[in-house]
Amino acid sequence: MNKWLKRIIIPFLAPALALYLVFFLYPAAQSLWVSLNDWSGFTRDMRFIGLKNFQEAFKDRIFHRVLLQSVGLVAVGGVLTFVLSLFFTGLLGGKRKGKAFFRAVIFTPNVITMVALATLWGFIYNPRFGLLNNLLRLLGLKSLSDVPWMGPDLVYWSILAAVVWIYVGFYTILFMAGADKIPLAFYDAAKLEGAGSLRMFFTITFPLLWDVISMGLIYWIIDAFMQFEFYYAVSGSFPPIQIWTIPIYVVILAFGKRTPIFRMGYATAVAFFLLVMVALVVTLGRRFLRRGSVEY
Amino acid sequence: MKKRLILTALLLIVLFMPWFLSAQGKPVTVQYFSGWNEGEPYVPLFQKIIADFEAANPNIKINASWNGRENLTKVRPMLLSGNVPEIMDQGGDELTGALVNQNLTFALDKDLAGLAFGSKTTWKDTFKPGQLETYMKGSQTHIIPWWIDTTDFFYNGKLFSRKGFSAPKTWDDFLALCAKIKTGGLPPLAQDGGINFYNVYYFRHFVQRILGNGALLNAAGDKTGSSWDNPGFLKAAKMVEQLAKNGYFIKGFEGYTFPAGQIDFVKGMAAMILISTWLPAETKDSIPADFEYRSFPVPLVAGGKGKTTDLELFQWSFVVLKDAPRKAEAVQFLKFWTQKKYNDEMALNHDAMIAIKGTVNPPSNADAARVMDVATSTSRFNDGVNSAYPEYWQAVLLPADDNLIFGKLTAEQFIAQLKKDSKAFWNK
Repeated sequence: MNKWLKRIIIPFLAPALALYLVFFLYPAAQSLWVSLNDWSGFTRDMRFIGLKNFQEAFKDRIFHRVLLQSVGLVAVGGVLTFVLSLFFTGLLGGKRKGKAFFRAVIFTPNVITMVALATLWGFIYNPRFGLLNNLLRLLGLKSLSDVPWMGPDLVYWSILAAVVWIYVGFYTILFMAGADKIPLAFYDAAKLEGAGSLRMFFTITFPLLWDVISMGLIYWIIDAFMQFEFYYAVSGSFPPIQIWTIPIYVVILAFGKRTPIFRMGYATAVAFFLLVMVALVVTLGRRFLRRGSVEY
Repeated sequence: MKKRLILTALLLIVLFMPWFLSAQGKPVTVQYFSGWNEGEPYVPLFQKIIADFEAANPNIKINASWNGRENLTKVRPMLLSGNVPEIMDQGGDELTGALVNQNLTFALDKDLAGLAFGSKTTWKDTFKPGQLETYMKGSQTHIIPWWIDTTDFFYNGKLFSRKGFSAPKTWDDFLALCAKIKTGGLPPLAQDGGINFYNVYYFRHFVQRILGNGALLNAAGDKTGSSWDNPGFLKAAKMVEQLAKNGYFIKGFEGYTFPAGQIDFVKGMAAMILISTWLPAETKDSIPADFEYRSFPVPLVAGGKGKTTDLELFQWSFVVLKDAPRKAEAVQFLKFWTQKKYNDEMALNHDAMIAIKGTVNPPSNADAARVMDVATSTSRFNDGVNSAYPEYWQAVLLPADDNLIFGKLTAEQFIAQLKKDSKAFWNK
């Protein structure tokens, strides 16, 4: 790179760098500072307590529970979402009649606001007139139709199922876009060799789609850890502890929400912990999900 | 020389007159951070109060921000930047936890000693007994309550008349009534099981009836956890357990998402509901034609310290912020707000009970309001536990109570868990 080019790069990069510094790095550094203090957020009196907030997070049973619930969503929700998305990708792959229609239908939850989706699922799970229990009644499954889907034992799994339903469409579209780029000649050759649909999926579609899948996995991990709106809205803005995610816990700690806790310092420590954890998982994910070459 | 002086004076007057006039005519602005959203049914009345006040006081302008329940979140940057609003309103427990306890509010005792708006009595004397005292900070009054609520068992008066039921006075009467209702094929109690702080109403009130005011607060703050050994707590827990075991709660209530339980109640799918007196305001658009709001206090427990006239109060209140520049005008506005005509309008049109003496009782809360007028004592919402120990409330008491009311813990296990978790919580 010649000197002239080097010199011109700096002024071109400077505005973007300045914006990044001011609007991302500085607040991030500031939040790290806040996490080292005992602070309600209402006054300027911040009491420096060093790493005590982080130490507390390690001993906080609620945080452990919420963390476990978030990890459960990432793992179980991830497996379900990706298996179903890949299933639909396989089902709708190639040239099929009505493909565009199914693609539109399956993607629909992603263009509806989370609050509307939460209201819809609230109706589905309503114990008295809910769609699910009525359907079970119609099918003659009387014992199942009395199940309180939003009760403490099941609410976590009920909401997880709804989240999977919401996200399957997005990942199906993502995978289908990747699958559409696989040359049809591969499938034609495989067919000539006598391969069935399942074999073609696992030997052609899946390996050639791996880059898209791994990118989707990273995206899912971030998205699952950050879940807030749907969980908050589906419970009528009173989320029971069984469905608290880390962002919900952070909001409750920082902003009270009916219980005047107002621990901005500790909430920021928990949020910072989340940031570090997501960054770590994403970094590890990128390293381990790297694809080797595919040869036929 | 004289001519020149007169000319200079005239010139100065001409030059400075506009500034002088505008300075004289410019109204001062009082910032009011409201805990209500603009779409809520009561807000038009509040806007009318503001308009009336501005018309009566052209030198004061009220700048209202309708922040809804995000009020405390939105005030933070204002407080930190030094642009402090004069007035805020919110639940007394939240205002206490967020602002009063952090010395951010202004003591209003001197203003309360002054005359009320358009009255010959002091502002203080216009409040019903116990209302100002409930959220006092030591000997100082920072919280001005206005819209007040208590917790009662609600029932449909017409249904009770038809079936020949009467409101119970004692716990035994209550159990007999529940049994009779259940035998008739109706679930005795509706409950929004998804709201943990509604579920705890039972235990909290049973404790009050057995051990009196402050017992729950003291036990919650006991770092050893040994206060839970008091047999009164076990007795209260057994009462909750009994209701759950006898199947008196509506089936599947643990899966109810607000407001399913209270809607079921007004639709006649359950006979009673233990809830705060904001119920009529929240459900009045859902009630059928043959519905009449009636209520009774949590029944007496034989040998207990609490009375049916001991009232828990949830107070929607005002505070004046200490560092705000226009405190005097803010107080003037609050005195104007708390005058009889607006209190009555709020009571009659919005089913609200008001903390000011002489306000008409809202018909839908007439039973509760009658008890309010003869209250023997008042206590903070949830006995003050949620404002004094908010994290304990969230982490220890509410989860354990959910397990008790959902039948997952026996009364003995519940007390043992409270004891163990209290100790762990306070010694972490």
